[in-house]
Amino acid sequence: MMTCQELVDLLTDYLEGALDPETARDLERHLEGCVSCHNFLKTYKATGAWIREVTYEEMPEELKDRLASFLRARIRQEKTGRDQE
Amino acid sequence: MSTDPTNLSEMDLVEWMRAGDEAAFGALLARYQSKVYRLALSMTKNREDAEEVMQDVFLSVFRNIQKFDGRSAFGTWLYRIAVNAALMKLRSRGPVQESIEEYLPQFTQGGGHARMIADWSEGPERSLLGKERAQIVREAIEALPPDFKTVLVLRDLEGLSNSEVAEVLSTLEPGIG
Repeated sequence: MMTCQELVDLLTDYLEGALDPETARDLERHLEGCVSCHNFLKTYKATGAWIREVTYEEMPEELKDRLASFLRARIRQEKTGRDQE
Repeated sequence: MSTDPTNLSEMDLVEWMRAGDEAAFGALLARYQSKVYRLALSMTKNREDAEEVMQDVFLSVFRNIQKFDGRSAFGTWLYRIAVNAALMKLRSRGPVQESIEEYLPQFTQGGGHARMIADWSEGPERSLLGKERAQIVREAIEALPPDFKTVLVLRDLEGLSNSEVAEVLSTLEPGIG
């Protein structure tokens, strides 16, 4: 019988479908009988979207402009340096 | 070359860039800069550091595009450069907290959960996405050791699979991660 700790260790592989069928069935049997692991799985599946929501920040337009200017200047500088060698 | 580079495939853009086409570089920059920004900001939690990371990353892409051999996707190669740059920026700040134990589930000696796990995926708690709770999450991410933070950003924020994360992490500079 799979333990809770083993289930937690295998969870991401299970969710990606990377477990062999027998191990996946063991994991599902454990899930059916364990409220904590069932809750852990539900919370884990929700966490990614939740973290994305909390941390999402659009790249500011002025930063895009500054980055493009920086790169244009550095590339021009490096090309000029190469031409003079 | 008269075709609009923004309509080209990623590999065509890489080929054009290798041939010295700056518009192709501009198109790759436009395609990836927001992703790299999110990664850099999530890793550094500091807008100035994130901007410097972006400068390092795209300058490095421009200088090293001839070394991209196409065995991995361009995005994977770019993430690798971005993770390296962000980790070097973190490292330049000095020692970081290296304990993650308090964030991990605890188990009994028999391998069972040490305490009952609640379902936080829905219900009243789900609506607590207020500023205070968001701040707690940001602080928790900030406190993670760099290698754990890298995995969280790549997997949970950027949506890479386990194998893609492994590919990005497999060839980081020695001593990083």
